[in-house]
Amino acid sequence: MLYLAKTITFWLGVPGRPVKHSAIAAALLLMLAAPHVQAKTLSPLQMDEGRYLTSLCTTCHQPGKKADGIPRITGYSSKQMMEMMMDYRGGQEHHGAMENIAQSLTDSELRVLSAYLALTSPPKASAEAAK
Amino acid sequence: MKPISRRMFGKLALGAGAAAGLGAPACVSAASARIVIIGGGAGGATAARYLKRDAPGLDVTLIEPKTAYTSCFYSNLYLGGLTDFSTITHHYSTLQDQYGVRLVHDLARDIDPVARKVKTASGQVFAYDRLIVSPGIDFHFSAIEGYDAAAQAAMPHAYRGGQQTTALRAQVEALEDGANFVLVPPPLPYRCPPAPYERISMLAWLMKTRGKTISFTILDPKNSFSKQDLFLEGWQKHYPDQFEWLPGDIIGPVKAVRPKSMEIITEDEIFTAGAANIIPPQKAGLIAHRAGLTDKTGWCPVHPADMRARLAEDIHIIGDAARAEQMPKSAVAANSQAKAVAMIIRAELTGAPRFAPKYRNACWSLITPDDAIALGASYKPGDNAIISTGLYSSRTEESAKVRRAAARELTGWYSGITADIFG
Repeated sequence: MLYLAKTITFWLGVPGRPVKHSAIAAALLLMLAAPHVQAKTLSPLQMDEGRYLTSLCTTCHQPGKKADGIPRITGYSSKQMMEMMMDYRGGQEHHGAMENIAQSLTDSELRVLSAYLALTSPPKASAEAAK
Repeated sequence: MKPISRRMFGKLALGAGAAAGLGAPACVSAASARIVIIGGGAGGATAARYLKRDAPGLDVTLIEPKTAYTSCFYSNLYLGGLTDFSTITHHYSTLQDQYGVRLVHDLARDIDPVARKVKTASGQVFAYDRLIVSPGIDFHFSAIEGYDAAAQAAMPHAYRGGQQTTALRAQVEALEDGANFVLVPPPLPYRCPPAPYERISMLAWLMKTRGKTISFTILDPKNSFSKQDLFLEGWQKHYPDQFEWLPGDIIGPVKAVRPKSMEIITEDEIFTAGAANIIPPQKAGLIAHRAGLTDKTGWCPVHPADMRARLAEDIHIIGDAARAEQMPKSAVAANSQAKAVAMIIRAELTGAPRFAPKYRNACWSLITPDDAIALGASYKPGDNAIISTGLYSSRTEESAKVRRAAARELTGWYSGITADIFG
């Protein structure tokens, strides 16, 4: 399948967001300890993982559309989504369910999830679909 | 694991055809693998959709007696006059036509775990390589003396969706100003712990919009209940002095009902109601008992890592019928268990990758149309039980803006989860 062959870059840190020193240290440690975390592409394995993790979102969020009180989750870049999830996890953005879900996922899972969403519904296509 | 298979096999007597299934290979190819799912609610229908979506080659059969499914979750909004019956009614056409799920509208009656076959009420037999059992709840009707079919019509439980729900709404609508309504919630564990208390809030709202003031009495077998501080605060704020909650320590459990005189009888007192909602103690759906999947609690013990039945092989139990330990029984819980089980079955049968299951619950309860309280949690499999990894909850004294936003989310969530379940 074509989308499997596509590549995607994703970010370890998010520019502009305050990061604690301990978090930076943890990220550096992760880079040293687990080289796969630095992967630049979504492998077929990660595509499968991304699809499973996305099923956590679709209990409330409908792909490609927003509903009353429930925003869309598609049409964002991987970086944008990762930034939003990290804000929920760190408590910079407040929402009980979103903070809870962001805290329940590892850095690696959040990265795969963000990349999967961006890859399967890229910003441009979704923006046009939403019109 | 202690298989019940031999005993069950003798008991079930599915006939000569069943014997042919003995010794079926443990490994099956993706093309031929047959998944049978019992129950087309939040658990079973989700599992069917995800299995066919992610592994279209699997042969997926969903056995559900009803052609139209009315959700029990969100039905309190129907009781409050905030949504109509068609909104909470769903069909299986998308699962059937778009996803290729085979729908069988029949009642699953027996499971033969040795021959791996399910037999229905009409005599159809379905062989499976994996079985998912998601039958929801059944009631201990005999726990309340006199709560027979006539009493269920006069004092509906309204706890399985459908006609019971419309009956309760009609009976409340018919109440005169100043009448008394009695709610009898069930003891734990039961489906959707905050639901009885949201329900009575919605009934108070309904009657407020009709210009009638009703007094509500709650005869609770428990001494505390889900979201208690939030509900008590909300009742005092929106329906002052209309609610009386009598906990088990004070009133004792309800012993009997007399539907003709609309009397509800506890150890020491007799209450007379203008209308009543009696929700009996609950247990796993009937098929789970017939198939020997339940333990002495009346629910089905499961392995936390994959919701596999502890009492049978190749059977997963999801949703309300399962003993998921710290996870409450709810539509979101069933939906998340179904997605984990679909992922695991696909991995086992097709060689696709397998990931750590993520179990979740999320729940909103309305006190008024603009005042919703939320709670939820994430869960993971522990060694012996599913355990919580973190929870969240609304707080008392929150702003009206926060509560209004939560109420809007509830509406969006319902359209989201029903799309996730039924396609």
